[in-house]
Amino acid sequence: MFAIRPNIPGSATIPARRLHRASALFWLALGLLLSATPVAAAPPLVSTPARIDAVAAAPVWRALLHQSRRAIDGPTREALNEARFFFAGDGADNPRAELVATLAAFLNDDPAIAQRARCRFPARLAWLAEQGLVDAPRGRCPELKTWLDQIGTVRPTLIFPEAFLGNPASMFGHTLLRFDPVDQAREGGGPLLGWTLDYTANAEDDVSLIYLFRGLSGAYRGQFSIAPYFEKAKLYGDWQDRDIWEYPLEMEPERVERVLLHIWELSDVRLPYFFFTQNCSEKLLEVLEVAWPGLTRGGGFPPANTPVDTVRAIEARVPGALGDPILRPSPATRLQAALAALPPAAADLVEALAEGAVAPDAASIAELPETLEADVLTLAYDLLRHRFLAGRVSDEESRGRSFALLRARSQIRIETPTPKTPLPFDRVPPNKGHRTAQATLAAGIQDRDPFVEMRILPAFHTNLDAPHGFAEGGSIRALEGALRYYPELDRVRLHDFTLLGVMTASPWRRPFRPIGWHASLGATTRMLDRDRGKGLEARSVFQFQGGPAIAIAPLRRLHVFATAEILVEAGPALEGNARFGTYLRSGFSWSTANGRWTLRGDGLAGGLLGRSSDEWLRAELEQRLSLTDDWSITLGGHFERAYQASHFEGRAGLTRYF
Amino acid sequence: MTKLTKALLLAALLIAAPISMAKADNDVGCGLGTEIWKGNKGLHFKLAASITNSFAMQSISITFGLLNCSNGQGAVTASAKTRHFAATTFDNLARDAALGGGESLDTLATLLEVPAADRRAFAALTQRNFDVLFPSDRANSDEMLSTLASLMQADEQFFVYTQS
Repeated sequence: MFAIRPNIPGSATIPARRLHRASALFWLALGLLLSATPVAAAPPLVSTPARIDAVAAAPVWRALLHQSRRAIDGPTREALNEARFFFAGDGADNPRAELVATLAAFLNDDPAIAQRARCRFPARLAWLAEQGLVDAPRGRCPELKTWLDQIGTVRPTLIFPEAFLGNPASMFGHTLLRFDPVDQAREGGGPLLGWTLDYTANAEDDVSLIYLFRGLSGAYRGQFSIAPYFEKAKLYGDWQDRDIWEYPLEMEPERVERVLLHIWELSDVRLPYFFFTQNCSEKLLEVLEVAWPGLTRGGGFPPANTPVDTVRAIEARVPGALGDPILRPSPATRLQAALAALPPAAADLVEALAEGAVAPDAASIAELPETLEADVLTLAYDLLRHRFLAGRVSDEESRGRSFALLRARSQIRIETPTPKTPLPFDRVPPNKGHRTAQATLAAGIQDRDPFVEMRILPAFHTNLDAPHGFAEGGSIRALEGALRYYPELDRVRLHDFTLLGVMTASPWRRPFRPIGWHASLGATTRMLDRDRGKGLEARSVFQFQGGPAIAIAPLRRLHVFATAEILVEAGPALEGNARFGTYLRSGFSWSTANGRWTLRGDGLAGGLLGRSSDEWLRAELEQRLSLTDDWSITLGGHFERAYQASHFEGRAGLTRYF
Repeated sequence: MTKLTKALLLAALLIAAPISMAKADNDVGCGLGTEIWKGNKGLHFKLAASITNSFAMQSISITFGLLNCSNGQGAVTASAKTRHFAATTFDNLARDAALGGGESLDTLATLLEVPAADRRAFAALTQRNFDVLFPSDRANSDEMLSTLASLMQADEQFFVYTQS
């Protein structure tokens, strides 16, 4: 059984699209879409078992069935079957059976059944016709045609809204596809009129942590949707305040066509959404696989997939396809850049205007040179708008003031679109950043005990890594773990494990003074002096730490932060099984302009409260030097005093990013 | 390029006879324009829905529902797209008009079939007439479009685009 999409008879016939190619696919599409009468002549179909085997094993066929990256998992199989995505009962697992069933449907003796199947799966039809397994087109698909006409002839662009830290789910960034109408581009129409393909989970009602949990557990269903880019630019840019990178993709028209037809096949499909694996990035790759089979070569390791991996996969596997990206800066980025370029007194006026302390017609504004006055009014409006969207100014207050500012600006008859200023801070496209998984082999000494350590960080970025292409002041560590072997004690320990550690500390930069946060949950090793004087014992404890954070960037590429945090530790080794603590922490990181060398340090001081109170002190210094893009050497050490015991540790390591 | 675009005409009709809208324009479910600055508090979403990376602005699927306002046969009319664009980016349009240029205004010009060569003049027209196009802090996007249509008709340079 398969879904039957009702054909609407009598739909308006729209003039033929201009077609300027004559590939087999296109010939077929032409016939499929436009021919009103059945075409009788057909090449002889060659469907020997060997031919069927070959086609069923072809990467394109597997991509069309969403089986190219990995075997379909249970929930996905259920969802696809629910959407009647397969003709064969075991289509989700057996590409050959699905091929046979698809052919049976396409070539059904009942023309109505065959036509419904063909209109439902036009990408399969087109490709199988190319392979000579299906005959020439028989009828039309009015709905599909209307849809394709709507989209027109397009060129794809990969859109990458950057991570927004402080927002746990956007932290890896996002990817969507945009299809730019070629005609409109020729007439000077901007990218805003393009169509975007976005894979989203429907989680509108849930708050962050619930979302995160449900997202991890696959409780959501995701769906592809198509919307004009001006909506997405509004959402991700204006509202969510994210920098957006736009990578033009060089893709042959035949492949674009196949992608579009495949998107049509996914119309009614709602798939389980898993935050790390079955996410926007994964689904987009599955769609791109249809154009570029073999793009991702079977899932890769680690199985989690972050949006930047999509960009990298295209860059690595399809030479020349990924164009140089264009940055669409967020409102916050633009404001920071523009205010940094203004004389300080003018920047003061911008803030005063936005706050309403100075009116747009005040003398202090009028006496400014005309171009400066125009910029000041514009930026005051932008700042007010930003504050309104952040919920810091009421609707009533912002309305009248916004209106007055724009009106005043319109009186200055200079055509200066947005003040154009270079960004005062480095912005590197995300695919130029380091790879997001890393493994480190290190050797070190802890007090007098030497050790060897293997550390794995499957995702994502710390402040020791090269900062290029990652959010300034942001750090995310997910599922990080370290095993240590102490040869003299001849034992292996899980030294630490971090389920999730997030730090977001964007530097204060006019006009923003963001308050970030740090939170980390995992287990670590404490050195305890349980048997007085007989040496320290390594004991594991569960640990949560977190609190607000602020940061400044006093020099280019120097990031200095401070946090005030609480600590909760629990474990049988601790007196009373648990300890609670508070502490202040401060640190810095600095990188060279090319990002090859990073130096970081931090120190903390606080107290551990329990039956007895202990001080907790720690100071750490670490550096990393890149040997190549993927290899670095690290050197670091720390001193720590906690639970009335002190220890020192030094280590040197070799890190591989992958 | 010497005739009034369908988009502009229909937009103009809207203000003249709002009740007949459904007849004048085949759009279903488009709504009636948007009030300026009556925005969602976007950044607020960051903490809730948008963290999903996946908050859809309306329930749109791949198929018909493009813009959520089709003509009943799946196609989105030019006029509907213009109105939808103006409603979505109304605050950006007001800003661009005040500044005398910008991406949103250029895009509107594209939708209205104003050729690239006339974009600067088009932007200047909106800047000169800012007070008329945006008469209050509760201006409405559909009203703005129809005002724009009559401004173009009254303008020496843009008059030609409004003649059939």
